[in-house]
Amino acid sequence: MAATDSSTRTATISPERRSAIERLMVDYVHAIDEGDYERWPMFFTEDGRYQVTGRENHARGWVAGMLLCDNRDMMIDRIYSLRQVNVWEPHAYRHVIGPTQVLEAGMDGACFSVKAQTNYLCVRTMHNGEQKLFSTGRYLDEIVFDDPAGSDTPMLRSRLVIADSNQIDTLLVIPL
Amino acid sequence: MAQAIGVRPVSELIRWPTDDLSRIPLHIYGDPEIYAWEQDRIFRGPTWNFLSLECEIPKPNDYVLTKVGDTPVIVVRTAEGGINALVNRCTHKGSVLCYDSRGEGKRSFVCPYHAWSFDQSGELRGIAFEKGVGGLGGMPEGFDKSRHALTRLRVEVIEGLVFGTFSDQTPPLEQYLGEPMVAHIRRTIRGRTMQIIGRYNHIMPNNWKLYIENSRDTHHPSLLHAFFATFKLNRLSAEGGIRHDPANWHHLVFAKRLTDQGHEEYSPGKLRTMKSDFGLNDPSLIAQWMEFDDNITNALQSILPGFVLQQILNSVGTRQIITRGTDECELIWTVVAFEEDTPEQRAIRIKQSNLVGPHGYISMEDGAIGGFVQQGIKGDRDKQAVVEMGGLTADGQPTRATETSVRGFYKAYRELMGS
Repeated sequence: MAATDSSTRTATISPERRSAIERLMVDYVHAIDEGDYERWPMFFTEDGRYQVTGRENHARGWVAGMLLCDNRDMMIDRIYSLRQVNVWEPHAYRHVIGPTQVLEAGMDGACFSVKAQTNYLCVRTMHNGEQKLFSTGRYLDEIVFDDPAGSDTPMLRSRLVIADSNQIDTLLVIPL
Repeated sequence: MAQAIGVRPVSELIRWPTDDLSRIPLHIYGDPEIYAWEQDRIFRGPTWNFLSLECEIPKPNDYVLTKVGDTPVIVVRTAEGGINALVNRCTHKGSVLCYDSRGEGKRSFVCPYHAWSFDQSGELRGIAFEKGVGGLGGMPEGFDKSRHALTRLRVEVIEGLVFGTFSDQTPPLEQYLGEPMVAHIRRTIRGRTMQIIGRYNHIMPNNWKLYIENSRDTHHPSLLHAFFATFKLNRLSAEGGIRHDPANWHHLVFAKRLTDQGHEEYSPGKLRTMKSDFGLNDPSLIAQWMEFDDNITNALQSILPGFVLQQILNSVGTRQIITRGTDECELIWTVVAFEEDTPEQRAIRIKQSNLVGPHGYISMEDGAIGGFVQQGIKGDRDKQAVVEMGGLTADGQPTRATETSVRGFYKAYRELMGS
């Protein structure tokens, strides 16, 4: 991912693929914002990787990010823990995402792979109604299509959430 | 005196409900006058405050910004290779001299406002237009630059951890820490070369003292943190204990996960935190290697006033408390690896960063719980917290089912505050 990291140039993909990626982006944030957390791991491939980090951590190459999952089972564990194990004050997110910029696209083995980035803004609303701008940043994604020819449902092979701020207020339990 | 100006004396502000250490008056978590005294008597008093890791300023003229309580501080590696710590406040008008959190090649500090310049020892070396322009203006003849140096802290380093103190009265660092604390710091770092692998700036919705209490509260982990209890990572039924320095100011709590013999309190259904149905789909998260000969798998070392050295399985790191007013504080988590690590060991440390920080399976709850206390006490500032488990004193005890270390913190707090 490092090679694409500093890139801000747009690559081109077919309208069908672009449309499928847009659906993935939108489905992802709605699943989280509506509390359907069990769906969250399912947006990833089995060997998918999810990591949250801060801009400063990322820039300095500090790799031990927050909520680091290097496979789908770890994501499932996180959600089970969120539901059943951890103590936290009830709250929900509302994500607003920007258009997705495709950075690179091409065949990667049997998969069609797209590297892309999408800005997000996330407001946290507590159970008592208190609202706070919780996080802004960008998703740096590797998205794969199983079917090299078609525009089947794409999945995330990797999502690196680079939050603009290194600060987290109180806790980070729901994935961004 | 730096902050407690125009505020009432401590003796009028704090009345301890009992002569022993078993009660804490709740208003000390929200009183701005007490907060001002804490800045002066604790953070700028005779204490050693953690400033930074030595590995953050490896080369001559590297600097990093930090804070001691509310006070902004520059930590600089001098041209000669030493480490100086200076208050980041121009002695002219008070602007910060450095406003970028780190940098290199810093031989002098020049104020962005009127270009007063200071050397790495904090001496005022230059004033722009000191002689005026065309014989007019400028500083008066008798202006003595040597009286306008930056405030400089004393600095000492142990195992790559840089500490600073404002006070001439503070004993040398190792004496301040005491032998058991020095021994454990050396045991944890063991002369290895630290590399930062992550940093989390955790904003906590509570007074700074509530986090320090939490870090010393040895009987909460398996009660609050289901993750610890369920995976038998840190239960009171495992071999463990508490060590103190001779003055009872600092504290070490440790556990050996593999010695856990169980206890009926942990039977299924008795404690919320024992989840018999919870198993990890990916148990690699809690796989560890036995890094230390003493077989300790969990150790938290809390150094007064606001520093914690952590070992959770193989997650090694530091925690530094920064005050942010009466109702909020920031905990800066820094997780490290060592140059001597194998790639596999480094990968384990990276994965175990899931256990710590604001997102940590365990530590996220410490962010929540301080806020719960701060919310709960709002209407009852005249009431007290009860810290009586394990007795009324602050001595070292061979059990973790005790609040002796919380009492130890307040013993030191009362000595420092003079209350």
